[in-house]
Amino acid sequence: MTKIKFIHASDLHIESPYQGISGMNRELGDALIRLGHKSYKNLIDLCIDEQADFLIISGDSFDSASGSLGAMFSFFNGLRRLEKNSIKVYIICGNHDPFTAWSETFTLPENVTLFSPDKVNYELFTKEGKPQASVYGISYREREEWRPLAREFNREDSAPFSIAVLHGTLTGRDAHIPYSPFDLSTIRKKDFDYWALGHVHQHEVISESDPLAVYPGNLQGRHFNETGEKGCCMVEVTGGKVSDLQFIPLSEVVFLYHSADITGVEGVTGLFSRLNDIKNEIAERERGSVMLRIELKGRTGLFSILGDHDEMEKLTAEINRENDYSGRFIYTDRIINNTKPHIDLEERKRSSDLVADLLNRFDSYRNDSSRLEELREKILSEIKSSRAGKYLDKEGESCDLQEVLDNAKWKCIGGLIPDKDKGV
Amino acid sequence: MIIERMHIDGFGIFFDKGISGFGKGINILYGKNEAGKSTLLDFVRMTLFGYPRQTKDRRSPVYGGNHGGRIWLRTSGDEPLQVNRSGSGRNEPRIIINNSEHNGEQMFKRLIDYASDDLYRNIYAITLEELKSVDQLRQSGVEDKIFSVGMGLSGVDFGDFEKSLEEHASGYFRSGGKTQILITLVNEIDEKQKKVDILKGKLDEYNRLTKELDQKKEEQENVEEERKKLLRLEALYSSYGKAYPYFVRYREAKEELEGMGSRTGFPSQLLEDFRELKRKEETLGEREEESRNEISKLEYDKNNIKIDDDLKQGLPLLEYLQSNIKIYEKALSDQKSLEQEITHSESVSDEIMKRLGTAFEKEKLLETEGTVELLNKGKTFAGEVERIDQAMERAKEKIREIETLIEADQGKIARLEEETDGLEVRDQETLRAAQLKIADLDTSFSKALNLLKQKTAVPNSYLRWISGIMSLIVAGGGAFLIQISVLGGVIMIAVGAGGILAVLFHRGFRQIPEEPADPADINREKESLKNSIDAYKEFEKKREEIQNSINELKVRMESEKKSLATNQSLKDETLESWKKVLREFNLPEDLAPGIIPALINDIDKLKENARYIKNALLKIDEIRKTIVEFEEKVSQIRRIDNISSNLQMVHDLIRELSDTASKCDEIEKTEQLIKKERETIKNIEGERERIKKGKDAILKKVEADDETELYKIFEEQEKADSLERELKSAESGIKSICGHDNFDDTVKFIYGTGPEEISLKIDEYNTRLQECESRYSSVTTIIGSLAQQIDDLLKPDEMYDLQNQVEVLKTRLREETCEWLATKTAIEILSEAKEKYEEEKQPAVITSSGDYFREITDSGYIGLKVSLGEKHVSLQDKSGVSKTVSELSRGTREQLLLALRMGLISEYEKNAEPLPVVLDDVMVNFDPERAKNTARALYNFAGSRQVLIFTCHPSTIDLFRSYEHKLLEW
Repeated sequence: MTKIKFIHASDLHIESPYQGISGMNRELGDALIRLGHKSYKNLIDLCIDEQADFLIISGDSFDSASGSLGAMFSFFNGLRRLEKNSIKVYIICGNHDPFTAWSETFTLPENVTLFSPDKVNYELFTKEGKPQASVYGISYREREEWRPLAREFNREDSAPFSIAVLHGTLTGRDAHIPYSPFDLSTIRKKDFDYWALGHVHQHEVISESDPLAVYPGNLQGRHFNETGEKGCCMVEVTGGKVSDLQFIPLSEVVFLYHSADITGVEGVTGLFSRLNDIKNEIAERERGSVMLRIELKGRTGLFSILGDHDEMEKLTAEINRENDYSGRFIYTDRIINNTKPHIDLEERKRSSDLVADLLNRFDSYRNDSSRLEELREKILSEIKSSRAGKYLDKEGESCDLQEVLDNAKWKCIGGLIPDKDKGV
Repeated sequence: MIIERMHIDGFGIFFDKGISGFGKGINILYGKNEAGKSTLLDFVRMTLFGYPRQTKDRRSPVYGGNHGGRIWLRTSGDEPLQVNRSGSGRNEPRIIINNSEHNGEQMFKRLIDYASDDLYRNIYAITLEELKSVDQLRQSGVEDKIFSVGMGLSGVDFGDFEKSLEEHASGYFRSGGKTQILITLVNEIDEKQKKVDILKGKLDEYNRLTKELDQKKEEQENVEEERKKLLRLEALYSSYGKAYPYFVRYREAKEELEGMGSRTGFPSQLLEDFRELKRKEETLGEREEESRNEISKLEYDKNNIKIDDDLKQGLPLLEYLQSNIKIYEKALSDQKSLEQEITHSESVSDEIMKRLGTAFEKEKLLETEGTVELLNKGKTFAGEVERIDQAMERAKEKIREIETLIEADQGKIARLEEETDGLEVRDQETLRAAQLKIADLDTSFSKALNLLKQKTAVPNSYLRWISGIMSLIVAGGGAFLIQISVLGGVIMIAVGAGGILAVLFHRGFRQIPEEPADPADINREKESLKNSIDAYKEFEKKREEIQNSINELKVRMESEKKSLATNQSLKDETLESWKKVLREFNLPEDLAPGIIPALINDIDKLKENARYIKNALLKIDEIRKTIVEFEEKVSQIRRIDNISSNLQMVHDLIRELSDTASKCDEIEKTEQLIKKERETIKNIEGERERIKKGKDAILKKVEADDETELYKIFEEQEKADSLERELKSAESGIKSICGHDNFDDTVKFIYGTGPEEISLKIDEYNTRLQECESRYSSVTTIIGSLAQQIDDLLKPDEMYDLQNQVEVLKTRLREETCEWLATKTAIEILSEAKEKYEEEKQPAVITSSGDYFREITDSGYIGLKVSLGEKHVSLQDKSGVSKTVSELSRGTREQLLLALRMGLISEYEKNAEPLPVVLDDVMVNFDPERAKNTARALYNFAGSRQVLIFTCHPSTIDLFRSYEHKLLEW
């Protein structure tokens, strides 16, 4: 029986910028660039090392909005390496790299099939003189594609194994913009053995069989909403049936959240030591470099320090000070303070002094979102007329009001209630 | 709520301490410094509101005991309650309210209206430190402090906090500001985004450049096409131009050929052959002439060679003589040498024999065999004889030594005897005489002593006879003893002889006088004799020693002599044996063994000489044969006398023979050459005949009568051939220039076109070609430039890095904006609370405080004004003058703060359970008047409250003497 092996990747987003990182020095910036390129190289190397028969890319190879010539150039160079190793590539365009955005001037190597946006087409993959698989696909013409393209896939060949390549959203997944929506029942009716999906950046097998439908996830996380290992899927097919499916991690840097309870940690030194312990723990556990956010919980007398924006910036900088970005590194992006002081606010509110009144006032704002909104508008009005107003207004609008309110409250508590009084 | 009593199990310096007697109103707790006021205050606070989290702040008991204690209180509703709290463990209090126990403190907190530790500090606990802290503040600071106090925020500076929030917010954004965080971030984002946008244009630029590049490449192809076409046309016309001369030649040759008409062609080879034959013929003629001349010359040379007949006859021996002359000469030399050596050997042998003497016969010596054995034996015997001789020589030497020693000893004896000649006792005889004399003297002495003793001379002849007999006996014994021991015998003989001599030659002894003598004289004489005897004995002793030495020497000498004799015998025997050996070898018996090696050498030499002579004679015989043979050969040619002495003549003969041989060879060679030349002439004649036939055949072929006609025929043919060639050459030239297949067209075209026209066309196409080249070059340059620009575009740039930086800045902007927003929100809400407080509560606080302040200052200040909007505090003195806080004295400021606290407490308790007010020595800086006023105010303030005044100053107690109060000491 003839075996075929193919790599299924998606959402490469080559040279898409990293987002949501609070601070970046030159060395970190260079490292992230380098590692981003490395993950794509890892994909190409995997295809060559595994002697894959072909590679499927289910859209969003690069971000046309970023307009990077270098991204396209880098992408095409990788395709040429596969051409030299006689590995075919089947590509569809996604919302970030629609067909119209592909440069006419970059010539596709001979081994690459870029599916047209006009209609669903297919290509036969031949091995040992016989067709072993058929690959169907259709590209996005423009950035926004709302049509349910899955419905247009129809089997027209008799190869032992068939693959449908689609950049789309499983209905019900609200987290993502629902381009080209589809549901499981639609794809199950379509007589394809494997649906090579793209668009969702988290790896998931949405259907185990009949058909096997897989989101490989993206190749490299770019912000803290894309945590964990990223990579591709390697599929082996024997006698027209999937005999093995593996997720292969390829990302060089992962985004991670780590939660730690610091009840009992005393002093800034103790906190620093605990943070370093966390860092070391992650270094031992993880394979590559890590962009880390640490959420601190528990009751602590360090609450006021943790709530001090400037102090936390300094602490974060100190934690990252000795990172060596030429190799593996653990970069602490932010420390999220979800700790609570020892003070019992509920009881404190029951007094009749200014502080109690203040705390109750914060509660009333919390429970009245429109009033809180008004307060925000009032504050933002100060900046609207400024030169940078439109930026700041927009940013101010995007702030989570409840978080802002909490932050304000803790500032007041930290300023008005002395530390030593925050007893049991 | 008031405290009634408390018990401390263990807290700070307190151990098992109970304090009771608390009540409403003023409660003064007096304690000296270090008594533990602060500790007690902390106990009250911690028991009521909880222990701090940090163990170090909990005031652990210094002297042991359980950490903690309990306070008994009574609420304003007259409910008793007990708060029992431990300082260790989880810190959960035991609350007993109305004798009902409650775990946890919810009930208690409810009773105290959720007053917290910070609230208690801010409102109810008034410390001197707090009052004093205001002294360091400036005007605004004091006012802030006042406001803070007025708001129940005694532990913090509300104004400072508000200011810090404002400053924090301003750091992020200020209207019109340029350096704030948010503005800076926005500007940075703008700046980087612009750079990104510029770099984004690279893709479009790339597309544009690539398209343009493709267009230019297409244009370049078109230009190239045109260029190629022009090149082809130019090349064509150029070829016509180049072909034109060839065309002219072609035409002329063709016309001339046609004019010559038809002809038969003969191969030009025939002419060549004819010419070749003619050349050969000439060459042969020359060669024949040469041969004839050569023959004449050789004949002449041959005739001039003269040869001696005799020598010619002897030519067969030339080789022999040449090869053997050296051998002959050597033979002569060898013979002479041998004869000389024979003579020398014979002479040597004669000398040997002469040296050996007549005892030897040469022939016998030559027959001597076993010379090696003889040599060895000779060496052995010679060694033995030598050894014996050496031993004998040693013995003789020793004997001589001994004789010398004996002579020396004898000399010593003689000298001793000479020394003793003058002695009274000088021998045995005189010794005996002396001894007898002494005996007599003894008698005489006795006699003399007895006065009448007569001594008769002992007849010395008696003594002489005895001595003589004794000496003879001794000598006889010695003669007998010598048979046994030579030494002993000799000694005894010597002693005996000595005795005899002494008897014979004694000097006599002094006779002892008959008359009695003087004893002293007798003694003296006796002593003298004794001395003489002693001297003699000494002499004898020495002489005996020497004699003994002599005797020993003699014995030794005898021994040596015996040894000598023995060696001599041995030598004789050895020599005898040697003689036997000599006899065996037929050699004279008187030959000493030591000379045998030399003899054997001589014998060997003789033998050698004999052998040599024999061999030499044999060689001479051989040599003679060679010499004789050679001389005979010479004689066959020429008679030479005494050839051996006239070798030069032999050499001359050989040389002459050699010359003759050379001449004969030369004659023979010459004859050979002459023969050869004659042969050559003969060949030439034959060859010449063949040539002639060949020439005739050729003439016949071309139908020529003679040679001249032949040449003429071929000349014409040559011309025609030349024209043919010219024609072909021109055709070939045209073809090579214009192409083989284009020949006909070319000829046809050139026929109809003139050279001028061709030239004009060429110029035209060249001009167009240059224009085309220029356009091509221009397009190529543009293509290069475009390619370079594209390459530059594809170089790695900072766009991705910039995009990342922009995202980071945007993230920071968002965070900082939220931070700013949070700060501003805090300011807003804080402001609301403050405003409300200032509106609703602070006026009452201020009014109440103003009353207390007036009371404390005894109406020194009648009004307290607080400007809410400007946060300004002013006071009005009794004369109506407004003063600011900074104009107040330190003490007055403290009093103001105290009044504010009192006002605040009054206001607070309107809605909450009263709590014990704690004052920690707050009046120490007050002047007596103000202190008194304050005491009064406090007393009025206390009322149904509980005011605990901690002090270490007795004066403070005095202040309250006129008021009801409780004084608690611990």
